[in-house]
Amino acid sequence: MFLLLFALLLCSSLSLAIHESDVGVIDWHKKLVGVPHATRVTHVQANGITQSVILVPTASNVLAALNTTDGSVVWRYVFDAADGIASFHVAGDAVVALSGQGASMLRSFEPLTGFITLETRLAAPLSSVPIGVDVTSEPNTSAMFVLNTHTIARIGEVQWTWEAEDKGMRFSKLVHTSTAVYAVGLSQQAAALYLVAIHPITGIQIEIGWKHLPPAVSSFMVVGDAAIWVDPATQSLGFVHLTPALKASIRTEKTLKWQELVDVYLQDFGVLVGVLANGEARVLQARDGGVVESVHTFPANDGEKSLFAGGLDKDGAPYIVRLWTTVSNTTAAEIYTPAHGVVKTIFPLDSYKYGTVTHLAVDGPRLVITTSTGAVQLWEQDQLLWGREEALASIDVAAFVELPLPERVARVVEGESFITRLTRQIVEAKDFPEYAAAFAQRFFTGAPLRDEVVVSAHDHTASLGRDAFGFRQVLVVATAYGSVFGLDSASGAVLWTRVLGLGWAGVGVGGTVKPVKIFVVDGEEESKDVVLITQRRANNKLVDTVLFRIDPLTGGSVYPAEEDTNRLLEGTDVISGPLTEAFLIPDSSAIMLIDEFFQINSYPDTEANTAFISRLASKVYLPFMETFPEGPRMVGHSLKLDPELSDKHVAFRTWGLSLSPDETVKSIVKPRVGPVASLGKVLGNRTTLYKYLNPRMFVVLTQGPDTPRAGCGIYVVDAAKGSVLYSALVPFPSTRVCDVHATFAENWLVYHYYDGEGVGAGEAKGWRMVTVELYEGGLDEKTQSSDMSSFGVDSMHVEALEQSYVFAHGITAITTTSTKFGITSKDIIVATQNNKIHAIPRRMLNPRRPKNRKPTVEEQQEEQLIPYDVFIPDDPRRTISHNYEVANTRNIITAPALLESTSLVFAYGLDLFLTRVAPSNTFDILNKNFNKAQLVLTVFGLGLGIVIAKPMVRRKRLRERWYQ
Amino acid sequence: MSKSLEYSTLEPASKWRNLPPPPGFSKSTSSKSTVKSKAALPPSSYDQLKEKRALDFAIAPAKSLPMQAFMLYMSGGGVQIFSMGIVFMLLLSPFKNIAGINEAFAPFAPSTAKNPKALTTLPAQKLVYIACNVLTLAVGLWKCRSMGLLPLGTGDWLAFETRGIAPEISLF
Repeated sequence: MFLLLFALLLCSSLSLAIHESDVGVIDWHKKLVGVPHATRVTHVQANGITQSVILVPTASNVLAALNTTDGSVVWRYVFDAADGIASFHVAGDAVVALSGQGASMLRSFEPLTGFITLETRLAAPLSSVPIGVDVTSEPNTSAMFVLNTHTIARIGEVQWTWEAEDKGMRFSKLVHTSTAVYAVGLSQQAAALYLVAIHPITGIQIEIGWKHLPPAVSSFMVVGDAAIWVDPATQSLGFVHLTPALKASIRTEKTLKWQELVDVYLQDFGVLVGVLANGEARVLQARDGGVVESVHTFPANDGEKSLFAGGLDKDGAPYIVRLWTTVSNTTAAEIYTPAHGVVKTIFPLDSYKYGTVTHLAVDGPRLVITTSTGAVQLWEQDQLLWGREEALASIDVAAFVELPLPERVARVVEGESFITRLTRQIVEAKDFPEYAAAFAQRFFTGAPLRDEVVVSAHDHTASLGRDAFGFRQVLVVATAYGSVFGLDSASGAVLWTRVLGLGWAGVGVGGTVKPVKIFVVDGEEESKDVVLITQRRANNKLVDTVLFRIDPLTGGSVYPAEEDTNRLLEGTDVISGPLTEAFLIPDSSAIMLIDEFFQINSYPDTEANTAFISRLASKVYLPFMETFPEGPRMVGHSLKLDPELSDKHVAFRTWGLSLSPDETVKSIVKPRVGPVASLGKVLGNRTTLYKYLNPRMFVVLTQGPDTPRAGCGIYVVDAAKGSVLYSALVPFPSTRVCDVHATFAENWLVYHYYDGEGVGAGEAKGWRMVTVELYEGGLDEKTQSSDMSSFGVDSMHVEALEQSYVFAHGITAITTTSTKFGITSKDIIVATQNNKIHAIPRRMLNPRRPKNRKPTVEEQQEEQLIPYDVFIPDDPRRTISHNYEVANTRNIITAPALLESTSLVFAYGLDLFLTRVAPSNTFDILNKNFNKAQLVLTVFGLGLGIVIAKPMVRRKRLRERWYQ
Repeated sequence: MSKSLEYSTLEPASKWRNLPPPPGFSKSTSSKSTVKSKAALPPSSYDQLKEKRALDFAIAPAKSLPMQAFMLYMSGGGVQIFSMGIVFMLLLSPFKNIAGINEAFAPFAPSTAKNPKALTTLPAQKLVYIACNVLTLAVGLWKCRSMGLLPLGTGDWLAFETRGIAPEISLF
């Protein structure tokens, strides 16, 4: 018995798991960190070598270290969504991050390895909104001081905590000197500067006090042992020397017109930058004894606003850099060092491709910049050493686009005369010997074919053409930073990058462009175009809907046609106002855009399209979410044309999903459209369960009220009339915020939730995965649901088969695979919370898996039914992401390849991951190990045998006739 | 198309019949033997025998059924080349037999029959023969069914079902 089981396991493993030789060939993974909020370069001495890393806390809630040599990720720490990074400090040889509510969670990392050396929860003020957090370290000991609004904690061998008695005193900055630790806070309302001096070893409060300040001071910071600020009213600089007795009085500097102070992270050196009203900038140095003096002057420049940064090189020498965009739209930088003076460089940052620099850091003479499009780049003089496209960590929408047929594939050219065809064919014939040789080689060895099967991930040279099996496609992704990328699905290489232009808002107003939807439509001839619909939010609060039509191969705009793809991508303003919804009409290239007044705008705005939409209008139903005072609700709409109201069709409400009063719609899950290969499920005894294939079904996920029907709702709704075809109520997770994930394809719904109730004996808390299949009725009952009207008599005749399983992981995204003809069974692809991508076979999630009995022989043979088991085994062989860490996946999209057996899977979130899956194995291509030579030799051998034996047999027959 | 040459009917009317035999030719042997055989077996009993033989022939397929059933049993329920061969034989031979029924019964036709190959000769035997062949066919079909090869369920016809386009469209 055991042996049998073992053999079974062995057999199944051959077909399930991804082969090690395929890793990096059929899949690729991009490890990203997100767009940095700040960049700091730190140098650490390890084993006598000084190593540098760039430390970045990012918008994706990640703390990461990048290699300065090549920009690779040295380490990263992905914080939980509930544990947002509040503050980040480089204190001595440690990287300290404070995170979570009230910035109470302290973690200290080793800069080179990312190992957590300390993780502790500190006392934090509860829900006091403005929090001041600062960290400073004591030289020579590993002790550090952490300030959090009212409390100061020393962490190290000696530990103490000091807490302010007067909770009105809020501190925000921390200074460590050998005699005392000072905390400084500023209150705008009280116009007061709070000061406290604490003994660094004992934690005893030496002195506490406050000083009167002019109201509304700005640019408050501490540097060296002085607190310093700008009084905007008098444009003067004020500073106070910190002594343990807190006796020093405030001094001001009024000779120059100060505008602001900029922190360049050189507090330990007492260096900061002051900007003057005339555009000059002074490098200020705080000397011992509370004296601040100017050591260098950056002259006024022609840029609008300069950025400053400071840092050390490997030898500990300070560098200060000023960077600005010149009038001629180039980027200039001046790097000042006390030893060498100023070096000015102008570097060619392409503002059409990367926008403007948002912040920078300096690594000796090299600059690390972050741009408004989310690129991180390292420049040395005017040389770009490396760049990272971190905007890819914030993809909003993505789509696969099939490549067109390559040029060499023969096409029938219409209207071609005999002579031209002959000459064309003669010209094309010159490639024949090469083709014949390749064919012969492929025929005998099969080797090149195998290369085609794998479309190597490392082949960037090949021109963009469709491969034999359609594994190579273009992924068009649009990011929250207003940029669009074309990625090669075979290698993950960036084919092109475009920045979305702002249209009229680009001139003097400014704004942001947020991608909302992406559609792939037919372009001219056989090409495909990508239509990207965005919301442009100008800085003057005007919102417009802008549509970009992009050629997926080049990134160029199709309409309006553009010559130069090196500029900003300009779109067309289709609606002057916000967009409510946008829909692509199936089997056409017409797009319906619904504006805030529910008017239907067709795109492309041609008469033919308008006529097409008015033809469809009577039978089109549009369900979408609308926000009401009690929360978002699901509303269905029809179209009508009322000449008195508008010259366009208008969507009007026809139904609303009836929910209990406090139940709100969280999200809708669209059905995954694709060809339906079979209208029913054939059982072992040749009877049929007809699938309920109403094409208007979709799924609504709701957040229920606390009482009386507490829980998260899952509804399958008919979009034409809003009737509920299937519904389920699952319990709340402990956070009471529903986190149900669902996917819906054909008649198959799979949803996943956390069951925190676990009531009965033998029941456990845990994640559940439920599979539901909708049928037209019992055995052999059919209502022809796929072409039936929603208002038909039998339209509500639905029978649901469902089964629930325990799943080992929480998930962040779920979808099904999709193939060209829908014949291949569908796998469920999930992104788990432990940063893996899993494929769950259809067989495991068959709701007909028999309970408490063995499946009959027929069921086993015909349906491959396996007995019900409450647990879906957490089989590592079903992990399709190999050992990559695919973190924080937000969405997974799948696309069919040309091969029916294979589906492309792209997961995006923080990281990008693409692979191919074949849920029913690659039944349509020969196995790699297939012995083609043997087959050919056998055929030839048999042929030879016939040639030899035929005359012999003929002779023998003749003799038989004569001598019988 | 071509006219058959009926020598026997021609002969009595031939004017050459009364010619004297050629010298050295004895007529006695042939005439004697015909007389003797006619005497030994009158045509009616000969026909009876033939009829009996025809009946034997008619139930022959039924007689071989037990053997075929055993073979079917031995070939198993799987769809393999061996079992398929037997099933094909079982399914095809009845049709072949029935198609060639007139030729097969021609040798057993009674001497009185005008046309030994006519369908109406030996009708009872032929009916039995057909029944036996149908029996063989039934065994073959039964085997097909047990192998799941007969398209009896709705599942077998599912692939031929078609559906039109939906009368209403919803966009998501």
